[in-house]
Amino acid sequence: MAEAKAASQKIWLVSNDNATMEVDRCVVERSMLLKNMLEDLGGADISPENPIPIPNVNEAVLRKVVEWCEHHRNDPVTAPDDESDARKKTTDIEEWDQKFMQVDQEMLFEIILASNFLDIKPLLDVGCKTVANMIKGKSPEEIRKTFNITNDFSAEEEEQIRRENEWAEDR
Amino acid sequence: MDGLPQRPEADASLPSLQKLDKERVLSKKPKHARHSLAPSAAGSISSTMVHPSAADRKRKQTAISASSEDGAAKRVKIASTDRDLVVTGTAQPSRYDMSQHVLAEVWQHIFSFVPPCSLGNLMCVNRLFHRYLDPASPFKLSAPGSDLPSSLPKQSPNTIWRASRRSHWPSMPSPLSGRSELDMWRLACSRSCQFCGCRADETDYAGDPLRWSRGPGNDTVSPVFQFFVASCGQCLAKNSIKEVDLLLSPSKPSFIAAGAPTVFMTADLNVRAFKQNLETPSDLAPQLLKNGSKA
Repeated sequence: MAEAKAASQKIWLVSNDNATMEVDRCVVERSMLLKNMLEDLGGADISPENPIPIPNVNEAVLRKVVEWCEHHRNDPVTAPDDESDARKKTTDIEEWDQKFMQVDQEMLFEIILASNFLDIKPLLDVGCKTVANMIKGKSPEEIRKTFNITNDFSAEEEEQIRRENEWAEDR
Repeated sequence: MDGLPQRPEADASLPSLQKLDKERVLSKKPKHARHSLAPSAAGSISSTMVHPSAADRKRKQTAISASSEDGAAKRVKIASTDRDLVVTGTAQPSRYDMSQHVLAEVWQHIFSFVPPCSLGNLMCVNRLFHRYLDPASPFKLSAPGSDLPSSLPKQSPNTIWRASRRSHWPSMPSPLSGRSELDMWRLACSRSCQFCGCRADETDYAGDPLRWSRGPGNDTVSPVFQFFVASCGQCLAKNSIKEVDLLLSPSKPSFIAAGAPTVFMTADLNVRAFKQNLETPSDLAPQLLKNGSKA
């Protein structure tokens, strides 16, 4: 009975730009950071007037993260030793998640950084796999262009590093 | 050259690797074809965020389609834009330098999902990525956001390469003792001789009718795991010493022959496995070679 009550309990979160949102406790608990916090505090005194502040995360990103947690609210929690199993699937991403990740690149990285901060491992993995797929098959110059990265090698350094990594070219 | 005998079992699965790698990458490309432009999910985002507004995105899209309409550049342009879309699923490059904007731990986690050949390309992108991936990187930069809280652990270059190998090449053995993961890829996939720099098409020796030749032969380059070198046949002969010469040499003590790594080499400069040598008594009279001080 107490458990059922805990599951339907509401939690309020506030983003760093002061947007408050109401979320089911079981959804919030996809975040290990918040789960541990709620377990420590009990969560009874969380109210719309006294929400949990989520620093570093703005409203748009927080809404995306909560949307993901809502969709995956019933997923089994993976134990750390399932890591190798998850690894096997490497860059396979389930269809809903693929669609979810079709956002502009800054949003994608914001989601990744937020899930890293909030400790939502499955969301973090989906985001990182999406970026990994963007890297695959690209030349160094194409990677720079994709992520707006400045080439800070000197000409000699670049030549030497290119020679050392010749084995990876055109594969 | 390396002074210690290497584990012989490591080379069993490696020589065919280079070709396989190529096939893999090729066969993967069409897989993402169904990604489309649509940054739809982001469309509903409110105006409080720091990300590019919908208008911004629209402008960029128009720019893309406009640029694809001018004459000669047309095909190239379309091809490259298409490719971006196909592979990424997200069209707009970012306004920030993402290598600096994103925590080291996050990039390292992303890299662990990337196949080894792409890790090789990532190392050539900038100093920071080189530092994340090369255990011997000369670049000592402070990683962005190293004081921020992160649920991910920091990963060493070797950990990243290991994760990548295990998920993309589960049959690839772990590195020979004392060598890094990266050393192994450089050796196993090298296409140019480390001594003279000559390049050769590595598929040449795959068609060897005798089937037990491991290269390099007269005109190809192949890894010789016993010596931990990638060499052409000529340089391999030049940089090693025949056992008989060693035994008869007045300047080198002959007892080092027992401890030096050894390969059997045929007259046409192909390395033969010891086991095969026992199984196929040869009319090619393989010469025993030992690596010497020259290398």
